[in-house]
Amino acid sequence: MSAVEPRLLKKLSDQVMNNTIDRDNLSYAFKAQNGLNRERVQQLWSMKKEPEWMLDLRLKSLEHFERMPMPEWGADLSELDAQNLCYYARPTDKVHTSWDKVPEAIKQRFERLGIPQAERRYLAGVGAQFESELIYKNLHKKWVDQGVIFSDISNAMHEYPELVKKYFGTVIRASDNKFSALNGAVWSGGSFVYVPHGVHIDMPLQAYFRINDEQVGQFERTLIIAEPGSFVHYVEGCSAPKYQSNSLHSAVVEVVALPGSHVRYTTIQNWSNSVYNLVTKRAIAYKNARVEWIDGNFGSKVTMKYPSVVLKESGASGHVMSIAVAGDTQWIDSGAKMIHCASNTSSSIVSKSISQSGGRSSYRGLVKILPGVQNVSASVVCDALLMDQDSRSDTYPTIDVKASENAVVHEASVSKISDAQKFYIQTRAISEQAASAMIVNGFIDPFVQHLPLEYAVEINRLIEMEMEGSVG
Amino acid sequence: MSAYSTNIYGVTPVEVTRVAQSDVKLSGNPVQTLYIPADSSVTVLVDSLSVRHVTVIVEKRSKCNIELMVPSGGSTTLHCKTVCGGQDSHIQVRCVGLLRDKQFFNLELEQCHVGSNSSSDMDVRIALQDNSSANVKGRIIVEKTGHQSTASFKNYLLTLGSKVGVVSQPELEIENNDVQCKHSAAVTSLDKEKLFFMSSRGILLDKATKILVDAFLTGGRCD
Repeated sequence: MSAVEPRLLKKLSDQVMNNTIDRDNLSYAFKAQNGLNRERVQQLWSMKKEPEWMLDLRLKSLEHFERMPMPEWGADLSELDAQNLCYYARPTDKVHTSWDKVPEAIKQRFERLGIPQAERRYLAGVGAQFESELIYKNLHKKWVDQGVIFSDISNAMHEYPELVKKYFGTVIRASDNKFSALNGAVWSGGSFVYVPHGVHIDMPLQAYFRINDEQVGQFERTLIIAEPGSFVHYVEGCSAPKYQSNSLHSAVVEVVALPGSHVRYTTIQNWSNSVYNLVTKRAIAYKNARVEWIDGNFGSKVTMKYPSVVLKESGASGHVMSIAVAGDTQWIDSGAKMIHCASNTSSSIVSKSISQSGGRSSYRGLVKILPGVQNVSASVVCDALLMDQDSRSDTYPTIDVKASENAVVHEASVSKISDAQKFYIQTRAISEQAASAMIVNGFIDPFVQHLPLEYAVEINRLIEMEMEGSVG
Repeated sequence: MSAYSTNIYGVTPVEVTRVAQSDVKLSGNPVQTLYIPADSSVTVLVDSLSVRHVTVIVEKRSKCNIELMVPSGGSTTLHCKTVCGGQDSHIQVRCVGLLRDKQFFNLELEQCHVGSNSSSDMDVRIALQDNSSANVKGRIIVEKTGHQSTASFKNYLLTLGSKVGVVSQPELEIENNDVQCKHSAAVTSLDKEKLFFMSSRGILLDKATKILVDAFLTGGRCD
């Protein structure tokens, strides 16, 4: 992977580190009225010119959403008012494949992300979603020639109808939970990735998601299909400016890892602290497939996200490496699920969290082994760092084993920064704050190692910035 | 021992039994609450066949060892809540046993630290044979006042039958940063390499299995 020049790194970091960027009024090609009902769902379907089966799916999802109660466990969702949100805002009439054709006002925001520059230098392809729709996508010709599809999912539904219909909603049913049902009813935007047999995309595909207006819901839908023997690394970044009223991000991500494939899905989430981030992510791993979720949660008011892997056939493996940094008023309730449906499968979950300035982070996870399944190896490690007296850390893991001849291990710890370590570093003439940041960077190092180099640099800087003023 | 009604550290029992320097066996009454006054040392044996809910509150500088007996048959539910109420209090909870046939054991442990510099240690080791099943939930709670507390929970389950079922939920709720809290849980089977090694030394498989199961269970007592 090529090195990135400092100027580009600076641009990349702006968005991640500073959520308070310009938020002057943009004109939308279309913006629906706030509120959710059957007519609005039909209007959305009609505007997007989708096939009939999608209308059935949307309406059934709406019924599930209306019937299901709000979750009574986890983070406090009492301030979330589903009828006070805009469910569809389209900034432009089409998805552009040339950056020059993207409307100027939107382009300015994404250029602060360094999208076109980053794409040229180290990405295989890029998609950018603004509010409800993808406004830009591009894929390098090399991968197009090899049959890789990286597309807006709405377009994919028209261009590859059989492929989308075959897999859409099969990994996560609308009835799975209240927010996957909501997504099923009002989804718009998101990525469709198809990697043909044996193709290794050795550069990441990247998507940026941005909520720009207040009281807007973003409900993208991502579907990744990795054919046998293929490899893909998909990276998503999320951001939103700060507002007084709440916004909602409720995405659904489905990954189908066919035999022998390898899918790595990296998320760097830095929503502002007015966003409810309620996401459902799940992968199905077939024979000898490997799925990795690399999950960084830094922003949002509330996050509830539990990436999961269904290990469906022998030899499949699932891995989750996550980090949560919960600051003032934030509640990050994240974790992972591993469902072992077949013998000779393995999984690992490494979860790290940092709570500071009154923030609350919770790990909630599940390792499940179905009856008759043998030779499963699963491990869960949760480490939490509490930075001050006002913060809180919780761990709620569940191990559910209905068979013998398996090994499942779990360990968790909660502690503060060791005074002895800090003292040792300070004796080398390093300030207390820098010493603390250094220790915290060491704490999250196993996570950072899984990121592309450019992101690893970003995360270290972000942590240092988060730490400012938290000690000393 | 003396009994009276009160409200201590948020626990509102029907009746509290005050226990000072002695060993106590709890049986008969399904709901029982013990109050260990300051500067005491008490060992409590809980018969889970008759007791359903037991709460133990430990005051300053006191120490309490609690042994939870695993029932020899039938389906049983036992809730055990311990409160390190006073400064420098210490609680140790042990639950070791073997489940057979269609036996079901539902064990819920809660370890609450209110007093500062308190410590607690929960150790659960259960082996499961045949069609038996167990749910073990252990929660460590450290309140804001419980600074410099240390708490640990170990939950080890050994599955010996192909149709056994276990659910393990080791939980932490920590509201103070000046603490050391950890838990570990494992659901494993007998190590086939160890069985093979012992068989190669002329030890029959049944005997070798018994030795390894005994070692697993007594490990909880020897730590």
